[in-house]
Amino acid sequence: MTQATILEVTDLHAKVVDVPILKGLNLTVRSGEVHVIMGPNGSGKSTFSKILAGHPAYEVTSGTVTYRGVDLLGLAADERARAGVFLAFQYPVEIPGVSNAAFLRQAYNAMAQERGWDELDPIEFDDFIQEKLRLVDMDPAFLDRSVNAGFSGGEKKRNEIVQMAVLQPTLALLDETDSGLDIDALKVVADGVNQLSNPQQGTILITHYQRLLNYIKPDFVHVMAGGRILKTGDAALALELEERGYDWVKDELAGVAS
Amino acid sequence: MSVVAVSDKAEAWYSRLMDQLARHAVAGYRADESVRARAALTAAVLPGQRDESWRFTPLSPLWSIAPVVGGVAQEVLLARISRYLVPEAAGRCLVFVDGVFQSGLSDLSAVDDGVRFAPLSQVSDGEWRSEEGALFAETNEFFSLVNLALEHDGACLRVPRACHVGGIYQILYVQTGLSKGLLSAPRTVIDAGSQSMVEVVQSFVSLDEGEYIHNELTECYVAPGARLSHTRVQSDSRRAVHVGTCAVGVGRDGRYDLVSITLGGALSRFVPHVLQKGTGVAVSLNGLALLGGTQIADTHSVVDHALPHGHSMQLQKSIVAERAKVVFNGKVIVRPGAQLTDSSQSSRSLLLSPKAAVDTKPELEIYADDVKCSHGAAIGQLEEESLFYLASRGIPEPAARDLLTYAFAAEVLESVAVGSLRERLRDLILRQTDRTRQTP
Repeated sequence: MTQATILEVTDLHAKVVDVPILKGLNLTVRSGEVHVIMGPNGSGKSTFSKILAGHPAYEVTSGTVTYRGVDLLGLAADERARAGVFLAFQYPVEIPGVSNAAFLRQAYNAMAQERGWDELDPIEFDDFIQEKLRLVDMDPAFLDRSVNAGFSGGEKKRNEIVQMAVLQPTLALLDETDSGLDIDALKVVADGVNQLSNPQQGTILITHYQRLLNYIKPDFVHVMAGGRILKTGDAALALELEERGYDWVKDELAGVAS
Repeated sequence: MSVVAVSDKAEAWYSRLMDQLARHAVAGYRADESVRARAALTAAVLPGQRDESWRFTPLSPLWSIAPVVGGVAQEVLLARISRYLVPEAAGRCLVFVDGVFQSGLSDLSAVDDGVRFAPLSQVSDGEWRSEEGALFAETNEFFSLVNLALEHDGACLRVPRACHVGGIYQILYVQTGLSKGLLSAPRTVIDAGSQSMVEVVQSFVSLDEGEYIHNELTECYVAPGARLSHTRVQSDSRRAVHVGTCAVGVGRDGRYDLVSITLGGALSRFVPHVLQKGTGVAVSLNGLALLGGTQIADTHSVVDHALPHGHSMQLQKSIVAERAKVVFNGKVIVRPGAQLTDSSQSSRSLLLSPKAAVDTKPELEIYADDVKCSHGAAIGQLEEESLFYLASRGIPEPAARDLLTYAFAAEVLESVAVGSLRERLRDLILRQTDRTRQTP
């Protein structure tokens, strides 16, 4: 079976205010693939994920992003989400006053309208969501609490995975979902991601730590620095980075260039 | 010379008012008040922006409505007002239309034993006027005088000692908007007897986008150990002017909780004035204003701590869209003897458009030295990061804005004790974007 191309990023340049962040990024993601992006702080990893999700603060100056054959950059953030792009936030936003249940249902129903699914009333949604909560071992009491308000770091990350389960994306972007998790929570979250992954979905994981890859098996590992992907390899590359840091990648590249 | 023009308009308005008053003789059942007020009005100075308390609130929308006293009585069908009746108050509800009591629309079938709940016009003088509750006897505030001079009808609610009422009481003032310039001056008297517990919803609504003036006075007396929960909803026509004053006296260990919802008019002003008349009094004032178009809404509150161990908590939230403007002035007085007062005040405003405006000001007068008084004010907009978060979950921008606006209001909405009202307000805010879009 041939894999469909989900995402094609070509020579992407982007800036925030007047600071260039992405400087010629290329990446192709096909269905069923798990891509891991690693790299030093400030290399542009998070920016890349936010640009894909449509954050208004970033301006794409050149290059193209094609998502399932359409120009992704031509869509607003909410349109991208409804088209199947999902970003699990590094720092999920707190919304005191809006219950998690109401928020999740509104997101689900926005998606349902787009995709021709049946919209769910609060009772139907409750049945639907209980099963999703079990994926990440989340207490149903979280449904009645305000979105992310007063959640611990780990609870927020679990909540992101619950949202992913509700929205069933085609392209899942996980921005440092493993940061701030203890080892048990990391296992739970990784397990949730694994259960949700499917042959139709492409996944991009941004992480600083090889340890996540003990639980989620990547097809590709990319090293990002200075707004570009410098090196691509398999899971072995992540182990090598863990051992040797990032300097050797830069040195190697400098050697090739000279 | 716009200054001169405004003052000319104000003077013309005043002359017209006095002329209208002269055509309506003192009716009699609150004659002493009316006579005093009429005399005081002849020497009254019109309020205006040179007065500190009107500095941020232009009265021009009022001066351009020529006042008419005593209009044509309007017949209104129950179906037209039923949406304003809260189901929780079934059988405990008084309805007035254009200032006139409507026995056919009111329902008094479930009034608790011993509770006096009737239009003031049907209550004898000695019955509704308690000495402690006579809070307007000395007032010289212009709009209060206008209300007293007119002797219009209104509602009386007296709850006897130790009575815990079985349900919510509602007082509904409806304006039809059919008589141009109609000046309605309803008067409400609420007296919660000692150790009693009562919840009241007081609503001011309009059936049409008419041009009229609503000038209301409310007196609440909370006797020692009593508890009064007061929900006030003001939703007048966007061409109308509403001026309301609510004077509250609270006796020893009494508790008064006010939630005031302001949906406004062209110009609306609300002055809650709470006076502590015993020790150990607890007061909460929660306010939510939701405005659009060119509406102006002003809340000037006064919390007067006169005796020790008083507790007051105030939270004012304003949501201001389009070119609307909100004014909030929160005065807190702590008198020399009022030691161990614990008072907090917070004013938070959400501006939904670049042309929306807020003037917010705490005004603390503290004369006691062992007290805790805090105040804070914040003005902000919807946060881009929150909007992006909701958008990234597929929620379209208008719905995301409404959801975040609702989140802002939630704290006050949750303090609305009446479930059906809370739901209606929630829906209203979640449809806020639609609402402002429909506004011409």
